[in-house]
Amino acid sequence: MIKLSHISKTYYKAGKAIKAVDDVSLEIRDGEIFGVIGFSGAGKSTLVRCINMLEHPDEGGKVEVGGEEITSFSESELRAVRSKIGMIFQHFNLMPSRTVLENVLYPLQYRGIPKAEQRRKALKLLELVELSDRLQNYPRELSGGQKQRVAIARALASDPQVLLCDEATSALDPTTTLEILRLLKKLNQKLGLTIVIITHQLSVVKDICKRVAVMEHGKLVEQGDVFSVFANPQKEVTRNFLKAATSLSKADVLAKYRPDLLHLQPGEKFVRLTYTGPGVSEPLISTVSNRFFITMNILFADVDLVDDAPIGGTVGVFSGEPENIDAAIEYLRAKQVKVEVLAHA
Amino acid sequence: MLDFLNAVIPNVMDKPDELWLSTCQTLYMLAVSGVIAFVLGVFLGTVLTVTAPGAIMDNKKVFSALGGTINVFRSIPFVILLAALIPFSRFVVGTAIGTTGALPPLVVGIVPFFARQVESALSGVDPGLVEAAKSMGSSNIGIIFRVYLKESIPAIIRVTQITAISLIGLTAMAGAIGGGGLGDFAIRYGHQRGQTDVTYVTVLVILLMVGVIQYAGNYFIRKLSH
Ligand SMILES: Nc1ncnc2c1ncn2[C@@H]1O[C@H](COP(=O)(O)OP(=O)(O)OP(=O)(O)O)[C@@H](O)[C@H]1O
Ligand SMILES: [Mg+2]
Repeated sequence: MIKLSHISKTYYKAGKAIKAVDDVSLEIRDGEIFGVIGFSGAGKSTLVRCINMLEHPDEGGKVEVGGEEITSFSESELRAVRSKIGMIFQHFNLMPSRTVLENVLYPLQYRGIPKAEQRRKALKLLELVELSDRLQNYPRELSGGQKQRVAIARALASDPQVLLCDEATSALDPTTTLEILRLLKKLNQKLGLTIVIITHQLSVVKDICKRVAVMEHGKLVEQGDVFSVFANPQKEVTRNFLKAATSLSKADVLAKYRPDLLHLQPGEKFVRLTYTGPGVSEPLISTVSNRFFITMNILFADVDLVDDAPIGGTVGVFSGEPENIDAAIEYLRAKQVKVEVLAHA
Repeated sequence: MLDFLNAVIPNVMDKPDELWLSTCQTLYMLAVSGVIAFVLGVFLGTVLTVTAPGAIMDNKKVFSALGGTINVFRSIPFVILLAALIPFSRFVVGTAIGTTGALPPLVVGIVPFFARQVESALSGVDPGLVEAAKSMGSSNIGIIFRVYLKESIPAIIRVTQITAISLIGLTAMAGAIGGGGLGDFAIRYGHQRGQTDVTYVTVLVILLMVGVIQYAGNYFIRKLSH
């Protein structure tokens, strides 16, 4: 559906070149939900704006959408292409002087569509996003989630095959985020819509994306299906996302700033076990306790489902004979559990 | 009542026709130059906005040439402009005196100010809206009318209000050098012949005009803001 080849985008500011996107190639399949994740400034927005050519990539890059190479299109041809690619934004970007209905009518007007037909279509879309009772409200009278649903209806008005979402849930609370993600999933299934989701929230990717690309400093550093990327991260950034997203990262803070709170006795080890394989369901901790005569005092655990497979870990203190603890760690590592010793007495 | 007025403002009461005529002349100058300046100012303010660096029709040459010209005209004191534009007025409207002769300098005097005000009104439009319109395939002209102008209607009314009030001041000045109107009236009688009551009544009439502009403007702003 979408194919980007060697996309770069350089901005020049005060004579200095900033490479916002650096040689990115990727392919997004028809009807899939594809995530692009990266920390702030990674170049995600710039990349997604190259897909509908709101931003012209540097010489040499190629953008193909629906089999057409649009990089060489004229401005008026691009306008036609853009109306076939829906886009929604972090801050919704609804027109404040227009009602909900008028906002959805916006992309339908001045295109030779009869008035009655425009209206029929807008009403149908607003029904799809469950806002039929808010037609005459102005955007400022709506909640964030409602605004985003209006924006989605508006983006769908010209029957696009692709929907680009730039941080579409970043300004919403967790419950509303779930509600919007559920709507996107429904649209994906019902309309066969290809969806590209830009986000810095791992939870969003885990929730609805099939495949993901990780961006850092303008480069695409990792990509693949969500489970394999996050179960077995190859790059530091990807790991950081995982850590930042789970409570397991609290362990670092504890080890670094308040080791006194752990009351570690000589020989004890403060560890973090991260499960990267399908073995989480095995009772690993009780197995090692029995087998190596050690105890694990669990401080906290966080196990999550990514793309329906478990991922996560446990943080706690091992106590027992030092050689037994070491043997237990060896055993766990053999079972594809990542073991980090964060502190010892 | 009449006796009372005759006693308090004798110099006005002996020439009510002239007061009425002066008021009409001021309204004429205000209306004609105001309408022309409105159209030109909205046009130029829009051009400034869309040709600014990074804007939808980014054009450095047009932006800096227009911006520079506006700044030059804005820095010329209006009295000097009145004198300097005499040949121009003769060329455009056939005369440099009277209320019609005052129109060209009024327009030239107020347009640069108004264009800058419109520019600042349009700059209040969220760039995200422009981005959204682009992503929906809107053309530049579409974005100008359906986003920039449409979304800043209340702001444009507000700056029109401010500009109209400044324009009243300019019409009074234009009147003083032979343009007629309330300014002329006040100077001729109130100032030159010491008929202070004429001055005060003129001030009242002008205050009334300002009040009407304020009231009407606020009414529409309230009605059109969402
Ligand atoms: N119009 C521009 N002019 C100059 N530099 C820009 C421009 N747009 C983006 N950049 C730079 O490009 C880099 C990438 O920006 P981009 O907005 O794509 O990041 P992002 O991943 O979307 O970040 P965020 O999560 O904060 O939205 C940043 O360093 C930014 O400063
Ligand atoms: Mg961004």
